[in-house]
Amino acid sequence: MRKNRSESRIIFELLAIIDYEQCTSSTIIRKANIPYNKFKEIEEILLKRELITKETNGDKSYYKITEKGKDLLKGWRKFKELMELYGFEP
Amino acid sequence: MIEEIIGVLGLIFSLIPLLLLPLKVRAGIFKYILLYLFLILFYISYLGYYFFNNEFYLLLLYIFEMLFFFNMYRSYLAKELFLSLPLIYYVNDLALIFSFYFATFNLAELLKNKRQYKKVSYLAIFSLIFFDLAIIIQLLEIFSSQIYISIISGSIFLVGTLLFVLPALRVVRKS
Repeated sequence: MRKNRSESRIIFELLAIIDYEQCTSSTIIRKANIPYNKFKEIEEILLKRELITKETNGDKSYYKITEKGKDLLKGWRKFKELMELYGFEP
Repeated sequence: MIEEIIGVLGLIFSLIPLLLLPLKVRAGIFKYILLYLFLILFYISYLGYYFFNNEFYLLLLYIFEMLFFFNMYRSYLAKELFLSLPLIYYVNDLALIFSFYFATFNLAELLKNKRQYKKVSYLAIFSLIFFDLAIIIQLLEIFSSQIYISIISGSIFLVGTLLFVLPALRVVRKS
């Protein structure tokens, strides 16, 4: 049985997806496997903290990670790696 | 003199990860600090016991040792902690029995995770084996000759500490 992911883990998974490629909300929702309302909730947090930017092109919106977001993601990856070495799930 | 050296070295080893790897992630910082904090407090109590020769530091030493092992999988072990606290109030040495239980539980969890091909470090597994061994020696010495902390158990615990902090240093080296 898969364990529930923590809120912070979902946020960083989302950041990692956006970091990998510039993508739309539907791609993020599919890859992160989260409901739309959860995505909107997290999107608001990330935009407010300037970790991602949203660019509208025609009728589609694309998300891009900022330098601040990249920095935070780097720190999270370090933390995740460390926790995994001790057998914990972050 | 050797006891003091063990205490100082242990304190330095357990402080290294917190000094060298300051995490920027607020979500995980609490978990990260707690992982080493009880170990630091354990060595401070250890030194306090040898410098001031006060029984109070011995009690703190037992409690922080137990909390260090409890903290690793606290969500699974919460019930046991509630059982242990009132008992320790009456018989301090029982903290060691609970330390042994928590450490063995952690070791079993790590081995289980390793079997599932997770990225668990062998250093972390060996550190828990050394910690377990140190606790067993500590218990045997209390039962046989009323020695609460000896050079042998202290040294083995120190080796466990060194192995425990090495995975953190690996992450520091990579970044």
